[in-house]
Amino acid sequence: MNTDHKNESTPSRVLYAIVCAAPLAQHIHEFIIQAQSANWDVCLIATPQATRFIDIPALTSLTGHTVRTDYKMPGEADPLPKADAIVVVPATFNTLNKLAAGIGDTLAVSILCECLGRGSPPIVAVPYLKPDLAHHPAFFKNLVLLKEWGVRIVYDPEAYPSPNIISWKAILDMLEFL
Amino acid sequence: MNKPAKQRVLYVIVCAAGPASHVQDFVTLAQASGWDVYLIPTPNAVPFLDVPLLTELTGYPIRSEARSPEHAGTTPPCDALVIVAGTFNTLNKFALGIADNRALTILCENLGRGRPILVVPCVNQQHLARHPAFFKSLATLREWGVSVLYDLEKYPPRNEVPWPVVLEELERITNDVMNTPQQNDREAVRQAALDYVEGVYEGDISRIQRSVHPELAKRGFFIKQEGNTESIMTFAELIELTRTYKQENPLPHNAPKEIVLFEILDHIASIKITAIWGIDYMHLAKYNDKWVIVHVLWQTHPGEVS
Repeated sequence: MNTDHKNESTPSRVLYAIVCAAPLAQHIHEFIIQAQSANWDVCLIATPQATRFIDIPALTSLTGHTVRTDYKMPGEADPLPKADAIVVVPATFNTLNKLAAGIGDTLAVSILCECLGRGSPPIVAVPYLKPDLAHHPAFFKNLVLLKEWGVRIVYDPEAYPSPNIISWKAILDMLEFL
Repeated sequence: MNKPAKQRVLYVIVCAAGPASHVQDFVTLAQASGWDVYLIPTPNAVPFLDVPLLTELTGYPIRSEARSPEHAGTTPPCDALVIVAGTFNTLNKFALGIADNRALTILCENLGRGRPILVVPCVNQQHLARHPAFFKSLATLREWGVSVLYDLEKYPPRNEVPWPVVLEELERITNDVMNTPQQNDREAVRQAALDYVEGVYEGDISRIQRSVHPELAKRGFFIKQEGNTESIMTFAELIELTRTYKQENPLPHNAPKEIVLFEILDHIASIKITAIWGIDYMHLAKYNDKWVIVHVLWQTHPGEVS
């Protein structure tokens, strides 16, 4: 562990929460607090567009880690500890399609592509999108592809009608069973 | 001069290639043909544009950046989209579902929504047009029902199709897709929906009688804290409801009556009405050239638990 923590006892496991640009990102602190009480050391990574939805200083102090949005220079130390699990929430149409196509032009997608290539740590993605985008033919195809590659996708429009609002608790439960 | 009651809305997506610098000529042409034009450039296309001129010409702000959380959804739904000066980059991204700028997000949403889309690529036949991904992207888009106007033999070297030809093709595809339901069908369906909602609001039985099929199938749900109740209603019961609704439910002056036409074929149609009592999904059918409501499925407003 290379960072200090607010909590006295250092959590034993690290969770990367990757947030994309959707309204749900405005509530990511609620998820972080619940994950922390489930003993996760949470690090936040935001796509460039998602930075418009989040309060970076507040989330930096909440997580005790740098909120990463951009690449580091070669040779620069990684400001974040290694992840034991990754959750992408909210996962947008754009970021999921980029992940499936292998277009790593944001830090968030690059990290996800690396993890897919390495086969670890496990990735849970919670898509959050308007029904119109869900009907784009590329999206369904890419969900199938990502599942085939081992990404756990929490997407069940019947159980969680668009825009796929699922409880933070359900996401945390899923992380326990990776 | 008779202005059409409602103009058709066209989104012109413009990318960073030569024709972008004279896109105003296309805007003028489309406006003369009755389109209300919104211009949406990709970020790289902005330097090609005379933004003040185009803002003045279209009457709308020209924005390339993604919608901010506070300003989401400020443009009206469109009837058709055309991508002019379609670049290698934007068309490949579109085919992959990459929505990382405003133009691409709007394109992907409207593809999902099934709106007619015309693509006019502008790529050099010597190099990018020969990249294997590009051909695949065009084939994918065509497979999804996007129309592609691309003929390098006719328009070498970059497929710079003259604007009148672009407009002609746009009219052709929108006539195929959108106006197959004739404009008067759209208006008749909208009128039937208005007769229904205003008929109930005003207690006007004649408007219900002319807009609803006598064998109406109607059911709906009151979403309540203590559990939902289902309500099933016949035509006769609807007439009775219309008689008494106004007395029993005082209406605000601006009671909602928002109508969305999902799809209109030559004989059947699907619509949505937002009214004071909730949301209605309706099916209509055309009998003897008259559109009437045959099915209504409704619920009280989502999240509004009584």
